[in-house]
Amino acid sequence: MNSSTPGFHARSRWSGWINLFMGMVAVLALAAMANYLSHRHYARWQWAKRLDTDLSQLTRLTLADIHQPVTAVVFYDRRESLYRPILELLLRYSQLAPSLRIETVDYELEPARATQIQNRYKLPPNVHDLVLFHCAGRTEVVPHSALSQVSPTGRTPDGRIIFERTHFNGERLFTSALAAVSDTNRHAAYFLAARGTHSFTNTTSWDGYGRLGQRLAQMNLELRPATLGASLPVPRDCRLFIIAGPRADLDTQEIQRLREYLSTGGRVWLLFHRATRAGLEHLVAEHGVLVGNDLVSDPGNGFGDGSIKLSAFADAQHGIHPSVRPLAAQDMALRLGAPRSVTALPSLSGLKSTTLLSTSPQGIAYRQPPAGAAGAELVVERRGAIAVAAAVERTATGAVAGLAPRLVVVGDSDCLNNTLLDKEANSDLAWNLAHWLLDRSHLLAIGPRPIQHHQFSITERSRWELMGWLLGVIPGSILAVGSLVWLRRRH
Amino acid sequence: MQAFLTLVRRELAGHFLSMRGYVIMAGVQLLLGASLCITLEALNQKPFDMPLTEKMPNTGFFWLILLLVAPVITMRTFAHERASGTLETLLTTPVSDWAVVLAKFTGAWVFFLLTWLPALATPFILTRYASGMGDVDPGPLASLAIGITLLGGFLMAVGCFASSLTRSQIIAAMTSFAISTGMFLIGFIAVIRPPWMGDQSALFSHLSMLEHMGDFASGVVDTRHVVFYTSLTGLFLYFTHKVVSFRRWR
Repeated sequence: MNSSTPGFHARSRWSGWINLFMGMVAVLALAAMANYLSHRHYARWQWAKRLDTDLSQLTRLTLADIHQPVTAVVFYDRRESLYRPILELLLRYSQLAPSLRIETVDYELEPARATQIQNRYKLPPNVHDLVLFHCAGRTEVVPHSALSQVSPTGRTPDGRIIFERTHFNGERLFTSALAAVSDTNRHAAYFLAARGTHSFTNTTSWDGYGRLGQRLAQMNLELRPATLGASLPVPRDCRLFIIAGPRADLDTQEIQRLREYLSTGGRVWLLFHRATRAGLEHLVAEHGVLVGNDLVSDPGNGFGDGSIKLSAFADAQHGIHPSVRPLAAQDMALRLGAPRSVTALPSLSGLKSTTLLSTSPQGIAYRQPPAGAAGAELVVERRGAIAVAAAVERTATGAVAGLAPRLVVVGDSDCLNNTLLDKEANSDLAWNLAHWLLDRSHLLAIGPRPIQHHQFSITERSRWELMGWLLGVIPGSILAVGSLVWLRRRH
Repeated sequence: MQAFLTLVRRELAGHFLSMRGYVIMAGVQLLLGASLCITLEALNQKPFDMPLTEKMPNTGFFWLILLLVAPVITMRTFAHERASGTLETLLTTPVSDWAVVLAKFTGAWVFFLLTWLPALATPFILTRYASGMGDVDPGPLASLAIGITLLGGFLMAVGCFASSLTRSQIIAAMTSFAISTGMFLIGFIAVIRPPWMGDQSALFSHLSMLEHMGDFASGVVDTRHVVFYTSLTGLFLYFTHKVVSFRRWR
């Protein structure tokens, strides 16, 4: 054999090496390709009850309408228990709306990226845990506090109140935020900034309405102050007029302006202060609602701090109003301070007035003592299920083309202040009433989802017993079987 | 097929007819039990709003068991046969190389799953001993089982590959542990995301075992994770097959 030319073995060995190398590269490329394709076209199934992401029809329609690129930033600590439900919900959204891009930032693990996001979207430096939607220069922020509802569920042995998350508001807030960033029309809502009403700019003191203002802004509403007078009617672009607990009487000019506004299809949200009816009782009576000069309590249905718990939503004549139906369906309660009675009158031509909330049959209405008679004995005016909120709308027969006034009367203005807004389902009530007044009733279909809680208790004895099983009996039995097998095979 | 099943039986017999298999199983149960006891101690009488199954992959024990047990199970698959000289005999029988590789892999995988099987009963045991546990949600339990099965398959394939490279079981175990732990640690890059990282974060996120297992434990089954683990398992089995064939060819 000629040693200067490669022999058969050398050639076959080289071809073997090349074959091996090419085969490995090809399989590697196949694996990479499969992963690349799977990354582009994937499916996700949520099998856990707590991640149930069946979306409402409204969300599906909203997502189908999104054609511009929208970015959703989940700015969250991943250890936060809401992180997973939020992410899964948004991933479900992105499956239906491919132009929705999801970005996750854990500010604990990624401080540099967190700073970038804060700078890009002009977020305050200490802001944490939020979901942000951005589209064509418009940004909507959904804060962590709004994403879930917290309720007291009991007390610790040392008397401290235990709070638990009870409901998850993700779908409702995300759909609303998406609608807001992709909709260029921002509607105006006005609030009466006179007569001692609650301040919509005050987010710090207990009786401010600043937090409610923030929630209304999340509904794509632009909130503006307004004053009424002889030459100051309700602005033409007003979609919703809010009168939040006036402490002083409105004059006849102001009331006349409100009457005119309602007669032209206006939407008014009226919350009464505990101290006065502000001269508005006649206006609301014209619309089928009687506001009592009283204070309502519900013994046995309180929170121990003077506030009362309400969970009766049915109206004897009209059933459950759409704005409180999601609350009734979820068996959610509301917390009111000291409401006055608000009775929906049964029949007024062309008007339909519906009771929204009422006390239990043990409710008591005390007559308001006259001004300056502090300390006077309270006189019981009536007992039974006493209504404290009502909604009025014009019926089909009474409706004039293009004009459909709506009025919501709540006998307590404290229930939506900065302190009580996030208690129980108060913020849900506010959300639902605003949407009903704005004729966005379809949004009421997206109710909060209940959050399942886990808490177990294991006694000392059970713990030792369990440890005995887990650390002793089970491994020990396996070793015993092994020893038997070993012994049997040995002999 | 008959030859394949015979080889799988032989592999399983190797585990169950010696003390070794039982020691591994008992060790896994001991670590799982310890993990559960620590978790129970931490959560006793405290409200939490995610199921226990979701908390599992966040515990160090979970990953310790996965990453440590896999090399111990697979280190002997090929290395022991080579050291004892039985591999050549096996390869001269009328059985294809693929049948040998797949049988060894299947045997190791089945044994791995059997070591985890008692863990499925844990939530049900807990409902007996702890009050207020509520009903067990079978969804996350099933998805976690799928996750462990897929991850187990991948780790077994890595172990078989490492074992096929050497005749020393210790070196095989170390190699397997190094590859698995390397893959596990790569996932942390996706979690930490250094500032220089741009679009690569999607790649590291795709490789992150922590993220995959986080999904499975929360009751989410994602086709990306399924493809990831099956493709990598296939890849390492192919490599193993090539190494075994190469030895025969050499």
